[in-house]
Amino acid sequence: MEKLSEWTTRIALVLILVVVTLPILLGYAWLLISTFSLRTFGLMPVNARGELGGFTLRNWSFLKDPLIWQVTINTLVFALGITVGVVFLSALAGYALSRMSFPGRRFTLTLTLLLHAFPSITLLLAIYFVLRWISAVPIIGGLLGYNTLGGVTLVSTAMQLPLGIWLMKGFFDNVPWDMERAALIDGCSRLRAWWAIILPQIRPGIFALAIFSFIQGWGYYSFLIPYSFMIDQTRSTISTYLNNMISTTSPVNYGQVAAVGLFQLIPVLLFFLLAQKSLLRIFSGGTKGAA
Amino acid sequence: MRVRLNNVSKNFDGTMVVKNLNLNIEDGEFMALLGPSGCGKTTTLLMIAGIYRPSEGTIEFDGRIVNRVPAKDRHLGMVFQSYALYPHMTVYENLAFPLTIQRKPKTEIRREVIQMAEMLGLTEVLDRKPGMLSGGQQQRVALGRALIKKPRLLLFDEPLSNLDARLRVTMRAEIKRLQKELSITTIYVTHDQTEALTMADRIAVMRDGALEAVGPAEMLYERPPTLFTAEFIGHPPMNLLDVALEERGEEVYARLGALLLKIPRSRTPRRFASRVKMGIRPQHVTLARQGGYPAKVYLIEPQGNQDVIICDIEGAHVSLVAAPHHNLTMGDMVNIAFHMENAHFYESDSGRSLL
Ligand SMILES: Nc1ncnc2c1ncn2[C@@H]1O[C@H](COP(=O)(O)OP(=O)(O)OP(=O)(O)O)[C@@H](O)[C@H]1O
Ligand SMILES: [Mg+2]
Repeated sequence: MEKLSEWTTRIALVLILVVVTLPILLGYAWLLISTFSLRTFGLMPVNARGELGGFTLRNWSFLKDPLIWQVTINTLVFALGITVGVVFLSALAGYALSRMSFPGRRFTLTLTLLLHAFPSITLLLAIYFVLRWISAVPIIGGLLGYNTLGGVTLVSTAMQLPLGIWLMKGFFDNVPWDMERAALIDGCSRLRAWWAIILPQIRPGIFALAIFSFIQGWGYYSFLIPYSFMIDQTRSTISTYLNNMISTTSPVNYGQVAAVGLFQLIPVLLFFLLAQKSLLRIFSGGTKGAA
Repeated sequence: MRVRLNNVSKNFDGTMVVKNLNLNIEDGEFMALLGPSGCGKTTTLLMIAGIYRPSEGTIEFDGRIVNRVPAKDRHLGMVFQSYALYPHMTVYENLAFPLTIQRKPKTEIRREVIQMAEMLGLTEVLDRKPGMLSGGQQQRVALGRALIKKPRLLLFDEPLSNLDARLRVTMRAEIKRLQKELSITTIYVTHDQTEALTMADRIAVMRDGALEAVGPAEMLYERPPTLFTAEFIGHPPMNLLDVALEERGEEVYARLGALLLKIPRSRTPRRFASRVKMGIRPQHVTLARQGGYPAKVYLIEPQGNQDVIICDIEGAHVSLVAAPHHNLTMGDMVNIAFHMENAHFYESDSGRSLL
């Protein structure tokens, strides 16, 4: 009897989940099918006469374009740059804000929160001038100035720092003071204690922030900054490539746009498939046995 | 190593947490810092450890002022109440950590860790993470991690308060034996007087951030120099009664309500004060077959080997210790005798001893 009721609840649960996920699955299915079709009717690929057929690889022809590979590499560099920058700087700043007392600590905390709430679009003009100014500086200008990958990485990193710092500060706040004191007494410098003892305690947090930053950099969310400060197509990212496709080709070939979109999704999907286990661990509680 | 605190104070944002502390700890000595919760014991210990810097005063190790020496260069070991083990490392790595930081060769580290694990009975669990150990085992790891670098000063901050009563007794003995064997200067913070009395060579009693009394256990127990010490040390706590001192010819008496208690010569206060408290331990009040003073049993607290009987006498509560099987119940009338050769007298306002 008990077995039976257990099974019914389980089936009910699965059914609910299926119903909820179905629209999303359908969306992805359509995306996948339409990239291989001339046009679609519902989920069904159709030819010009409206019958089943019209399969094509034409939409994927952009893969033969060397520009897409250049742009993919750019995006990878861009996203990884943001990830490393955000994680590293947030981990340092979050530690300082959580653990050290210095003049202006409260002010910095408030400012960080304010900046996070500040819509970045209003800063575009100011950033333009800053980047232009950096461009004028010899050597550095070529790396971090206007219309460089370094420049947009720098700006995008800065945009994400407030959130990252707050997250990291929260994680550091939860590491017991005694553990750090023990490390200092055991012979660590402050930096060594941070690296060898404190950081490992917040590994799940760091991992989460890294994923978050990478997806921000890779996906469409970070489109605004590269779009605004990168005029050169060969230096741009997938998001802007996609955007150019929509705004320049007339009429828009949605099959092709879907193909590029799918192409952009692949690394993220792969990543989630591989990291599923660790991701679940983050959400179910972080470090265990932090006695 | 000799440790010396000279007028050490600490304030956090304007509140004085430790006030003008003067304390000498001799080489190889086991000093207990005893006091109620929040009196500044941990703060004092962390200043000695080099985690906090004193706001005022100096701390000396072997005559050298160490105020500005960072914790990592002070060559000391510390055991925390929370153990503060590193959860991401195995027991082996935890024990090895202080030596790894010192860049000792791998083989030497291995030898030391295995030796330490054997001494503390941790050999079986070397590969486990701290989260998979019992409280007692975690405690041992913390102790081992403090001992492994052969520190010249050992600091304990209430290390036994998270253990069950039985284990606490075992560890108490073990820590004391280790300390004597290795003769490392030790400062042991606790709010448990039993720990302080049983383990320490000398006890420093703290109250509200200030030093109240320092001395060996017997001295603090037999002749508590202040009212606070008298109250704090000893179990059950000392009876403290408001009395008036009266001189009648050669004799001096303590008046408790209508009772006149004769004070023997050896216990006669050096000076009189207007408000006086008489202290007498429950062990020095007895049930009397004849003589003594009538009192009413207010409460009986059996403790196994003895019963604490609290009596109502002259409007005050006096507790006494009696052997079990006395057949008394609440409300019975008894006669009690005060053994005045063990009485203490304190000035109520200053808390200073009048003896
Ligand atoms: N970092 C700090 N900042 C501000 N106040 C503090 C700090 N550390 C301790 N205090 C305060 O100083 C006082 C003494 O604290 P401390 O931890 O030294 O007491 P303790 O004697 O160890 O008490 P317990 O037995 O409860 O551990 C407390 O009132 C505490 O609130
Ligand atoms: Mg404490």
